[in-house]
Amino acid sequence: MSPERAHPPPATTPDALEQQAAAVAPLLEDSPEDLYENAPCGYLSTLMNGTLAKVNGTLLSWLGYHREELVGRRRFADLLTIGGKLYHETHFAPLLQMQGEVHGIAMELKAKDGARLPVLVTSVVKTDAAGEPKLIRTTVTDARGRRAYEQELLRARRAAEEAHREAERSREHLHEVVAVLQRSLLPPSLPPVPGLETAAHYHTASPDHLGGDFYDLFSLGGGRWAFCLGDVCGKGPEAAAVTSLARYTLRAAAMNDADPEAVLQTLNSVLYERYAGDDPRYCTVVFGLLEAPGPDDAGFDITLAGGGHPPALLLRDDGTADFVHTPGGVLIGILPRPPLAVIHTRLEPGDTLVLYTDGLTEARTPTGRYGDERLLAHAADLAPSGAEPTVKALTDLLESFGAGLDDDTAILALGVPARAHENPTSSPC
Amino acid sequence: MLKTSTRHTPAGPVLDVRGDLDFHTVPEFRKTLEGLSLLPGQRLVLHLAGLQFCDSSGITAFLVARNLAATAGADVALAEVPDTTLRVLRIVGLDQVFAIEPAERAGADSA
Repeated sequence: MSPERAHPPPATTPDALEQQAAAVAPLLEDSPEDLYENAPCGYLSTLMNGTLAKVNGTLLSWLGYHREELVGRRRFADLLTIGGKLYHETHFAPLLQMQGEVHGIAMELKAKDGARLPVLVTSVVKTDAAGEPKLIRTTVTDARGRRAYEQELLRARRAAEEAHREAERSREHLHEVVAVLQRSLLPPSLPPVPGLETAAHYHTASPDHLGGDFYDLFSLGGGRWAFCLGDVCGKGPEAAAVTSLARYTLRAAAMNDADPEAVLQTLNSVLYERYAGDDPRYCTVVFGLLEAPGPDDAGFDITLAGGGHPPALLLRDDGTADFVHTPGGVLIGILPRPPLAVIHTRLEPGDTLVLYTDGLTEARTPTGRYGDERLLAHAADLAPSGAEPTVKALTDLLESFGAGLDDDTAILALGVPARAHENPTSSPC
Repeated sequence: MLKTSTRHTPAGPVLDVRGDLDFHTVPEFRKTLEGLSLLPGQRLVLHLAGLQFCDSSGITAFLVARNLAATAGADVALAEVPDTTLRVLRIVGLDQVFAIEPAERAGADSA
């Protein structure tokens, strides 16, 4: 049943129209005067000098005045607040004089008891037959509802602004938490290794997400040091948890048995057991052992084990550069006992070994992914180069990728100072 | 963008993968994998000739396929792997883990 059916059907014939008019007549105002006096808005008329000439009952009741207190005694402007008076003088009256009418101006009237009444004012100048202005007719509409609405809008806007500030604060807090956690996945600083220069850089792709790259360098005692660099698949808290697990497992395993292959097999067992199934968590890692042969020898012997990680870079003293491949190693955490590649190499004075994650080679450039070839060519241009300047150059390279670098990237460089710059007897371990 | 289509052969399903396997498309790819029916002894072939881009999320997806196949008692192979992806597979050692078929499968040989 539609709602219209509840009302009488519309009159269609002249007879019916007449009957309907007769039915509603008693409900209508019995005179125009009554309509004027008790209209749902205020009416007033003023002489051209502003003196009130006529005010209706509605407006009088709003303001709390008797008719004789206003008519012939006060001007329209006297009913306005101080701000309203000023506005009336400077804008309202001149506009009215110029245009002959002004519509819907928001003002505040002052009631007899001092209360303020927000209203919308419309005025029209009445002219005589010769076009001379004689009278100003004004309607005053109660705008308290509208004012309340405006205040509600204002309140809602302030609430939205506060919510926005709160969201900004939350975002800043998240960034702080992410930054603190990210730092916890990396050593606060690299420990000094006698006879070795070290440098590292971590590029965070997004302040909103924890990255999964890590590196570490720590002493095993007896002139031996362990270093590692890796990349856990994925991003976010889950990846960070694996990163943390990987880094501490590597440390603990190396303390027990520093053989790089054994260390990576231990890490593999831990990850494989924990993350088998349909949510594989794995990482690629390079783990290495540094041994200083003796006080008379400035170089380091290196044993390097790789589990599916991109090849390290060796920048040599003679100005050449090569990849140090650990071929055949499988990424850590997906097979019960993965094949791992172990190689031996040596860092001579002036040589620098660079480990990196694939954020570097996978960076997008206008001519495709940056790639191994360009990285090797860049390394050859840099060589010979110490750890610090090499990491600086690669950091600059990462920055030059701009938005093309959308992955976290870790870089760790280990360099033996060149002979010309080093007292050969100063590096006992 | 990722498009997949499945062909069924007596030796097992062949999943044709075209487009990008990355962080954005891998969840959809995983659903496709989980919807495949694999019988013990069959081989799932991921046909990758149309693969445009594959990052570490894609590598994870291959491993998911391998684990799903293993659970079903089946095997998995990668066919016509583009050079760039093959290079990544070699770096992470997965060329030793997956059977890699150079072209369309001729028969149901095992790895």
